[in-house]
Amino acid sequence: MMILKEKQATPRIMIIVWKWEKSISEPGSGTWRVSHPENNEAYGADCIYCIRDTTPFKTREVEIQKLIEACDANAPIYVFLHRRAGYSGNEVSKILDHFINPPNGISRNIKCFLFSDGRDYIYTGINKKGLLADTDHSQEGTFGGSSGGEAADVVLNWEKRLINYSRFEDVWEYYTHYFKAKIFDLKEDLLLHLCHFYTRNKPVFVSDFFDLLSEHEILYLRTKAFSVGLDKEDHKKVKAIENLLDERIELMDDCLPNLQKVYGDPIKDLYMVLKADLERHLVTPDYFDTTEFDAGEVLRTLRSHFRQLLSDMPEETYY
Amino acid sequence: MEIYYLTSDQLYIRAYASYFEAQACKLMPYSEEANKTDGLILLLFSPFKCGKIRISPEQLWKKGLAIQTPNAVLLSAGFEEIRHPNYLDLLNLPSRFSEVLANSKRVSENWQPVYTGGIEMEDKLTRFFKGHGKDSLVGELTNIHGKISALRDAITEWKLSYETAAKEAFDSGYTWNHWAIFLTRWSYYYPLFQYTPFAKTMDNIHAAIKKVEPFFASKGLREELFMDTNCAETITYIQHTLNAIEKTYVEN
Repeated sequence: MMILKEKQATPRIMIIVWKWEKSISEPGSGTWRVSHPENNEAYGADCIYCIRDTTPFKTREVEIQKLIEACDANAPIYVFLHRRAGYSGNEVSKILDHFINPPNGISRNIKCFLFSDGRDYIYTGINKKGLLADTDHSQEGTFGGSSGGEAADVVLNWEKRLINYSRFEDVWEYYTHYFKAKIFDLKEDLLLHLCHFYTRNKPVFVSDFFDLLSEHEILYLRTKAFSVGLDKEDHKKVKAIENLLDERIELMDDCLPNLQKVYGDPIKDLYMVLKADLERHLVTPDYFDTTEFDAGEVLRTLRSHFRQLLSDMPEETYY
Repeated sequence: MEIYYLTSDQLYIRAYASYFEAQACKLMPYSEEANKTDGLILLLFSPFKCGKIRISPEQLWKKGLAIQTPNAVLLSAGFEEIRHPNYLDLLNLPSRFSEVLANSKRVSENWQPVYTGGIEMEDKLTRFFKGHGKDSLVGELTNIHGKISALRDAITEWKLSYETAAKEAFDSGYTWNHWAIFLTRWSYYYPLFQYTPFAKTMDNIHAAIKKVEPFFASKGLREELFMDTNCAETITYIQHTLNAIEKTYVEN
């Protein structure tokens, strides 16, 4: 009973800005309630707000802000922004900045994520327990869709606008621990691909790591997304590779603003140190720099910067 | 000297084979056969990648080897900056590997393997067996086993027709729900077990599940599937084998 009360006091809220069908994004700010596993309707107020991305950008921005301000002040809020509606890391920063130092003085517990093209965990095509249907670009967005040929039971009752609790829970849990696992994974993959420079026992130039990484385009794009962000050409490459491999690339082009929001400003310094390290050796090295380095030293420094950042994120890496 | 290794990525071997060669050691891929080796040395490149996540199975390996080959040396190697007699920091390799071996502890000794950053598989295995309260995986399987055994007994001992016996056994319809829950949990956990000491056993269980799946998919309507898949015996095998794993790795 205690758990129930706690749950009721802090509803979890998802705001999904997407190409929603009109009937889904209306009425009541596109509110969809989350069912309780034992059909206890009094359980909490976890919910999803569906905002259409067809309205002008500014209108949408105001709409999102108003919605967040109207939410329970303690409620954790996850905002999902559709990349194809013009959202990038900048917009993520903007939304989060607004709520880090809000005009009304009430700071919110917000995380913000980008998604698109059916390749993120929120889609049922990627995650059997996802929420969103993986529709064609020309189609409007809806809940459900299918996974492995089976219809996804996302909406339990269309009339009552009721969402399956277990799916909400799964997506929520995943995004709660999203960044730490991805950062840890990037660290392991980078060190694994670069460690032979250490065992080779020869000095390296600043561009050597970059040259090697250029042969591993997915890893390079992940590193670039995490450190300096991807441009339009990079996104095209990502899409082409994903189509070719029929596999999703784990990108973190919305990382820093979320880290700051969740863990506070000190984490920015740790991130910036790591970012500078990655930029210098892996993303945009200076080819005219002929300084020779001890590969072991460079790699140990890199892992140390990763470790410092990860250790400032107190949660488990995986659940 | 032969060092057996287990890895989810051959890049480790390509990068570190030269180091071990220089130390007069030969890296050999691990298989269960290696457990017969006197003075087995097993090197785990950890964490292991399982799909999109990484796992750390060291604790389970220590338990498993301690039963089968108590004199074995279990080492893990990875990119964590850790000092431990049974850990190799792959970015800070010792100049003499022989010293590592001399200082390392045997699996039968009392020590804790280092944590290498992935999902702690001992915890995961406990959750696999004991999680979800009364609806634990074992609970689901016990329920299914009870119904399937009752069906078999009704046919073989009481000489009831399949149709009559099945109607009685599956009257409530809950068996199919239990099976669906069991399958969902299994499909989540099974890929995580591929780098554990009981991976092969889990592969056998997986094959057994696949074998009886058509019977459950038919919701018991097709008698021939019950007979052809040897359903009752197969479910008994799955339950007993999982019980044995639980006893060894969770309860011990």
